[in-house]
Amino acid sequence: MRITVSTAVSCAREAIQDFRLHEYLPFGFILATQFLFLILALNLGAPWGMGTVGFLARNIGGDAISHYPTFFLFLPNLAAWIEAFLYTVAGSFLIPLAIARILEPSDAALQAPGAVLARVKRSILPVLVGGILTVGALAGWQYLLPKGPGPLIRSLAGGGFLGETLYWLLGVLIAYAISVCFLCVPIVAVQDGRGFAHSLLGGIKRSLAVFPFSCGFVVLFSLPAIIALYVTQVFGRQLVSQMRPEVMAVLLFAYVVFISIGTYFLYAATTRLLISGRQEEA
Amino acid sequence: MRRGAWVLVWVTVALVVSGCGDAVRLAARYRAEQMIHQAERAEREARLGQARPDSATLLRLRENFLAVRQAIPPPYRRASDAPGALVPLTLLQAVGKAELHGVRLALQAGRPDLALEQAEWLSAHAEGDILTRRKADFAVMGALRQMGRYDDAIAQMHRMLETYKLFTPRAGGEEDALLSVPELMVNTRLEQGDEAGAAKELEYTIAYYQKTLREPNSPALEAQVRSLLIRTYLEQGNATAALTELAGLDKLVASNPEFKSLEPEVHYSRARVRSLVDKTPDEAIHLLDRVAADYPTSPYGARALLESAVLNERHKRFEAALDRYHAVINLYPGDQRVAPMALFRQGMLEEQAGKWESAKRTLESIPVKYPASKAAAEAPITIALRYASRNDKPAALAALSRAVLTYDELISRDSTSAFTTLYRWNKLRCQLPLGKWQDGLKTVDEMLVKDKGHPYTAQALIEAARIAKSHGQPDRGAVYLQRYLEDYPKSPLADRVRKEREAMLR
Repeated sequence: MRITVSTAVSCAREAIQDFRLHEYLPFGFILATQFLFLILALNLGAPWGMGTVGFLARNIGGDAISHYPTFFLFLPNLAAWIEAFLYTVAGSFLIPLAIARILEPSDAALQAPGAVLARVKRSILPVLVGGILTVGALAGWQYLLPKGPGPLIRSLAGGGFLGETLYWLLGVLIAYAISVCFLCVPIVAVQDGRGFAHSLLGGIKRSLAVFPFSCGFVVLFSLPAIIALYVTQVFGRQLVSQMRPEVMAVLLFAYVVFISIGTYFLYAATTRLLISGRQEEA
Repeated sequence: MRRGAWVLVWVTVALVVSGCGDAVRLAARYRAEQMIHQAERAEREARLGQARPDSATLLRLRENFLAVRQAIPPPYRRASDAPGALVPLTLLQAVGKAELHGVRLALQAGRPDLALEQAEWLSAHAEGDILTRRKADFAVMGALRQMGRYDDAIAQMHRMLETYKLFTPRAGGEEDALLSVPELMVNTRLEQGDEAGAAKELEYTIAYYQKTLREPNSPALEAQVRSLLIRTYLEQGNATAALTELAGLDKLVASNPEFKSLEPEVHYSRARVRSLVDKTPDEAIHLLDRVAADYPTSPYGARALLESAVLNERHKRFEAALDRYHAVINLYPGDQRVAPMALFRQGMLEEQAGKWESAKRTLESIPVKYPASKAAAEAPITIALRYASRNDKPAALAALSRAVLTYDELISRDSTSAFTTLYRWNKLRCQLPLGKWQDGLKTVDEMLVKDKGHPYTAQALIEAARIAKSHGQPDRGAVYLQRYLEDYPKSPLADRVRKEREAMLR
């Protein structure tokens, strides 16, 4: 696949300029669910908040984390698990749906009545498996990070604020790089509409082929989300102890909005990139 | 079938949300913690803005803590709860925490009556939680003491010692606060000048510790109680009994390496016993100096050095005593227990050695360096008394005027200090020789409000009655004596005071 930097830039620009609400709506559904989760998390003082998110938190972290303000120290982790669940499970249907809507104007086969839904249904399994593989790889990285590379970079930086920042940056950048390796699985699954193995393996192969460009897209579109994440994860304890603990939830609101829009742009740009690649090949 | 499954899901969700399970009480606990967090924040901010918030501010801050109980009223436990169930217990403890903050602020605001009411409420609503009830009872005790209801406070302490079992500490761990209660009872009596009462409390304390030692205890608790018992025997001057207990403690410490932290206390107590038993102080001084040298970081190191200095002074070895007082001040300037006393004694020894200017400087520095100490209360008036004993009347009067100002500063610096009664009493003692009898009566009026029930106030009332009468105001004098009879009805002087009052009214 021959893709140039200028093609990638055009794809990114086009993705932003051609924003269409109905293409974004599947991501909007995930965002709405995350909003609901955060609203419930902000209301643990009410039985309906404690009976839902509080119940979930107590079952994951025990009674100690369902106290105020300790709960807000745990909230970013809980929100991360919810995010992983939503983007993996609900996303196995919603992400292909959004991609099919992005592809629809350029793919005549998708314009037939019921074709979008049929293609999306066929994509669910490979996308779900791709998502689970991503989550598994990310969990592996999260396990490895504090064992060796994290402390190493922290000590090389001389500890302190710089050490913490570099530790966090290493964790996030590698995590994004891992996600990028599976980024094209839903696009290939929807675009080609072929079997499970083709979608999964072909998706990984194409992801690796466009890896440098997708990484650029990730950095570009996730930058606002990365900043919000940096504040919550690096300054979490200070925010909770020295400011209002609820600030943590406000930052997470900002993060989920940025990540939702960023993910849509990421898929929109990468889909356009793969279409351009194919056209170039043809 | 499908509809049935949905109904089941919704019923489950509704039950969880509406309070089946513990969601309602967990939510209430969370709300309580949220309110406490906000109240603590408000207090922190108020204290940042004002180094010493006034009583109105403190009572306003207290309202934030009171709101917790109003928002989450009892009962916290349900009949269906298993004994020791976590959720009702932690909910009660959260509300209890807010109440205890309220008690603390009421005490700081000089409103022990409010503190008492709140602490009694918590004690009555502890719902079987011993920890909460213990804390509430400690707060009741503090409030009663601040109200000047010393007999009631001591009765409360007795009740607590009889009701609560001691917590087992970890090896070398902190003492259970309950173990400090007997010493507090003795000190309360001593503060009142009630030597006989203090001796009675010492007897009670010994009986309490002995009873505790007869019960099966962990070695750590046994070591703590035994060391306290030794301290009490030493306080009593009962060297033989102290020595017997010391042997037991020694054995315990030797057989448990984890009690190594008790070694300084064992050696210090042994030296104290020697000081009581031996005819010459040499061995005791040697042992005390050894403790100070071997355990310089232990509080017993500081105490040993001071004790050694006092022993030297008592046996007229002034040079050696002065050296040790110097050492205490230089090595332990932050130890509020030993440093002020060492500085005061140093001043007195300097005066005896004829270095009056140096002695005066030393005494004058005490209220500045250690404002919350008995030495700070004694130093200003001591300077005046020393001038008087040298027949330097103008200098004595000037020193008295300076002392009044110093006492005013000490009182305004910390109006809730345990020494304020003594500051006011000494202020009165300075005002009278200065001829400021009207200011003196004002001080007595202040003591009537702020130090009600204190033995110094009793003395001040008799003094005030005498002054009022000598300045042609017998009616005012009779009022002071009437107050004496109302506030101290059990006083042995009551009959004499009654007669004097009647004479004034005639």
